[in-house]
Amino acid sequence: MSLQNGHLAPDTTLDSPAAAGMALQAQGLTLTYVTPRATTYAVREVTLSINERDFAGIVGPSGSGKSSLLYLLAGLKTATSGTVFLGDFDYSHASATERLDFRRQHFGFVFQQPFLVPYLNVLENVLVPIENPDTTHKQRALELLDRLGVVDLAPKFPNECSGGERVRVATARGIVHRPTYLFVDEPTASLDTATGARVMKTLQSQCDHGALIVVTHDLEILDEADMVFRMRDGALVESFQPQRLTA
Amino acid sequence: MSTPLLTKSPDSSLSTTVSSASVADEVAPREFPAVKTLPPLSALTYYRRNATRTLPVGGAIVISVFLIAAIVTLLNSVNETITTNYGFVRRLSVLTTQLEKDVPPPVLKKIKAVPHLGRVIPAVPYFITLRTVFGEMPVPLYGVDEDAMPVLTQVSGNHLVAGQWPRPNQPEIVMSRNWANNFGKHVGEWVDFKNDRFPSIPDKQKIVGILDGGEDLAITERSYLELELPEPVVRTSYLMIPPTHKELPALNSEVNDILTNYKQNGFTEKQIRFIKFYTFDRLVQEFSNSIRFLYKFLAMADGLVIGAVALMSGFLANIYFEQRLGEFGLLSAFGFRRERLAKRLVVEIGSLVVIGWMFGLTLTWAVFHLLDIYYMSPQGLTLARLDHLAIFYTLPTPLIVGVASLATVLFRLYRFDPIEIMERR
Repeated sequence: MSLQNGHLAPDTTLDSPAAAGMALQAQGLTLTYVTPRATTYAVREVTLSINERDFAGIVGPSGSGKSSLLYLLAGLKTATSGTVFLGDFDYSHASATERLDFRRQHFGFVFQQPFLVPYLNVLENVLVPIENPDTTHKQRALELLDRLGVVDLAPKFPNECSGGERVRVATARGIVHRPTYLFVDEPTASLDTATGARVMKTLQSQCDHGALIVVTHDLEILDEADMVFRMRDGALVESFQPQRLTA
Repeated sequence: MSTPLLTKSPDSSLSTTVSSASVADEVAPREFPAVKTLPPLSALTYYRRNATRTLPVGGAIVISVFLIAAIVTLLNSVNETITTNYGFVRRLSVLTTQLEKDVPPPVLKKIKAVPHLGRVIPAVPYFITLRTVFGEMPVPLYGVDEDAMPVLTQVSGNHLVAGQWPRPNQPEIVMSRNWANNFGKHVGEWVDFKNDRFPSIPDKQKIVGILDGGEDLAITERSYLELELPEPVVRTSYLMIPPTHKELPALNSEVNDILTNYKQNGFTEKQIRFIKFYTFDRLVQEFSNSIRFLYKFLAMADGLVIGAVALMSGFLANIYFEQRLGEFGLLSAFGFRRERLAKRLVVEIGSLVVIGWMFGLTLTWAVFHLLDIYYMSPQGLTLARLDHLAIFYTLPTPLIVGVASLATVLFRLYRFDPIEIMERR
């Protein structure tokens, strides 16, 4: 399967020859909010590249534009200017429907707030990204929950889970469909150290078949990252190997 | 309780464990306790897990459908009561006069000569009152000759199922079972028909026989009435019976032609002015005209009820969608198209209104069915059943409620920003 007319065909996998060159590339990415009083730059002229199977981190103080950059890279927000390519596919200028379909097929998300559907049990919540889950999907979902230490919660409902447990369930939901790129926003913000480490190890397993992009305040969880991008006031001020974090 | 696939030492990296687990998965899938799941994205899953939210909207639809169907059915009961208690006019027609003792002989002779007339039964009528769902209703009771009683019984589709025929000059009566139930009487018991509305009717009469199987009516002996009724009240009516039931319309047409075109038939207006010819069609038409305003009133009430329910349902749907914005925001963020989400909402709301509508109709049918069996029929009262007219009046309820609910919800669905919703939460 290959790129078709500049668009990614649905059944692309990173193991196929056609998947060669599936880097995520942002060029001059800018997001502004215009009000009568002023123009605010949430993201300012960001250019970066993330390769398949990379573990990339985005760090910076609050309000630096980390989450906004994540949303732009994931196609959840439309850039004011600039482009985002996955391989040869420019999805920053694709139609809303094309972006939706592309996102559905290739991206996974773990948002800062887990938001679990309150009337679905934990296992059903993990299966939400899958249109018609079968026993294979359920098995994988249970295995993910097991890795995250919450498989016993599978028949329970979100209101029966603690905040940390919900985060782990949301993590399983983000990767159950084996996305090509996994976008994660503050995965360990509400977790203790041990649980946070467990979640990060599960997320890093994503790199066996895809890329992982993590937005965080916590530099320690990026120890094994391939690349870290530091944001300030909407701009990308530096990018480096993670050894510098502890230097 | 599940156990990890591999035992992890405190300092082991999970990636190692995961790799090992991956290898182990290839060998044999891990066994976990069965967990019952429903399709996460199914509309029915939402209803099964949110009954307390579904019930208010569904209940409003059920109640509004029941109200409308019940009102229409009650109104139909008026029609049903009249056509039941005057049902014998389906089998024959009645030629009578008002303010005169008898039909003028030349006119009567002309009418008796029409080709589709089988038999004429002279009768002395008087009125009794029956209890109905809308109050008291007068119905005619006929005094006929002894030899005419079996004929009239047979023409009306009845049989004498108990007792005997009334004897000459005796205060005796046979009546249909329904009417006997209406009076709460049985064979051998006396019935007092007197009331302020008809002060001239005879004193108590004894029920000596019960008719059943056909149209409701009551028969007494003619000579008894001629003796008992005040002379100014006694008049003769003629029960016009065709040779076969199928010929009744032709008979009615021939008689009406004589009365309508009386001049061509050689009569004067003075001769026919007090003559009345009662047929079933005329009965139905007069009744329909008299209650036309009621159906207009009903349509207005129907519109008000539906409007109120639609407005309330729209508000409720909006409130529930507001509570589910996060769910739909999440699905949109995951890449589910708005059309897919809209389709789910259409199925959710559509199935709710359809099921609510059907349940409301079923409830109406059941209530009226049970009411008829256990209360109305035993008391000789007529109650209509749920029919196509009542169902038709309820149709706007699911349609308008569904449209109102969907319109508000879909409007928001196609305008919301999933990230804005996720960030709010």
